[in-house]
Amino acid sequence: MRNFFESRKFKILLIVAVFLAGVMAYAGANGRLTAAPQELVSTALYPFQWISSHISASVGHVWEKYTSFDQVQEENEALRKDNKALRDKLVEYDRMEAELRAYKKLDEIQEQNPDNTYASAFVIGRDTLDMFGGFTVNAGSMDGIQKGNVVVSDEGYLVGIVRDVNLTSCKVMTILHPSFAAAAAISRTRDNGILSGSSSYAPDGLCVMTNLSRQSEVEVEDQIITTGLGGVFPEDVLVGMVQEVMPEASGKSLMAVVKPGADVLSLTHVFVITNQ
Amino acid sequence: MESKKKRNQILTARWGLYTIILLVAAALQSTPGFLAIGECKAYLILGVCMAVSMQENEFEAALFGVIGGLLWDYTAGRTVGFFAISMLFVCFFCSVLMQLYLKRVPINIFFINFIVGLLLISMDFLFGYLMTGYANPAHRYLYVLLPEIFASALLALIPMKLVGMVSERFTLE
Repeated sequence: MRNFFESRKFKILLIVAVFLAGVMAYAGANGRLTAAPQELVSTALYPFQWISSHISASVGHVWEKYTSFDQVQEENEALRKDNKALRDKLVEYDRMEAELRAYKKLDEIQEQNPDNTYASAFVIGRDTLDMFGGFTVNAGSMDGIQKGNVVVSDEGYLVGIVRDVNLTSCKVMTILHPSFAAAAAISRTRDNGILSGSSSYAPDGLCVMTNLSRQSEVEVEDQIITTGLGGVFPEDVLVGMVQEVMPEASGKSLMAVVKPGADVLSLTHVFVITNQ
Repeated sequence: MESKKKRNQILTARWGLYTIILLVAAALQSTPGFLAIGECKAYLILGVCMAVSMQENEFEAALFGVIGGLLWDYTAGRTVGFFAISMLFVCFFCSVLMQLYLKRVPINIFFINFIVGLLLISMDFLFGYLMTGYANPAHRYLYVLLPEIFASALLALIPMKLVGMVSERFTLE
């Protein structure tokens, strides 16, 4: 080491140090050097900076993704909360809109049958195994519904009858079910018969009216209504229209295939007549 | 014994590669956002210069330190010569230290880089920040500069490995 301080290399380093000190003093006093050294350095650096800036642009995104992960997560959670609140509101608005539409229709029904009282109910469940379209609605005994109450569509067409009632929901047996039976009449001719479901016609959303007199003048497209006979169903509730007329197997009476006015298999909202 | 031509080729390749590593480090150090955590960004030029000074003799190390220091001055926008003179001395002494007293093991490399970084950055902070009268000097020193120095010392192990590989590949017999 002692030799080094006496060597030419040391003197060179000393000169370099003095030169740099002079450069620094000059640059400090004048603000900067001439542009030449800086241009030289910048020219040497340019290709590397160009490459690194391009790499940085892609790598930087990945890097930033991880370094700002907490912030992104917080934002994400906040947005999730906002999103959920908005979705809840949207669902509420949709429900209110549907209810408003239903009540408008109820108004029309009530004008025709001012004596009846109605409870609004949304279809909340359908049993896929029930081939006769039975469903559950979101109104129950708390809404004044009782077993045996009649269920009609928004347009006032007969849909079925309440089979089981819970506090907040009830199950509906539709007019497509073979166990369903209601006294009905052809509106035009006043011919009486029994409206019932049929396992043969239920898959197509149709039901039948049996026990029609052989002398009946029933025709296709005649309207069917309830008669109120027996006291289970109110009178003059619309059912649907005759689609086909044929003799029954016994040959003693006629049977009409009825297309219900309500699309029983895809209803979303109904009214339950609660004052029976 | 190698011929003079081959010796020159080996030396040219070795110092050429050192220079390329230095330029790459300078480019990366000055690339906005690259490997930055908040305000903190590592000083890669320092790591390369220290790595070379740990592999080479004191004279070559000091000259390489001057080049690295000038690059640092340019990329950091400091008064030309400030880092160059500083690097001349630290690279010189680092080279001597490694030749006489220390082994090239990661822990030594880390501590030397940390101490040198602390020295240079503290000087720069003193002249460029504290004496200029900027606000919140303590906060900047503790929460920006110290983490930067620590990160630089850690990352210095990478150029050390690269420089070691170059030195090993292009060594004179």
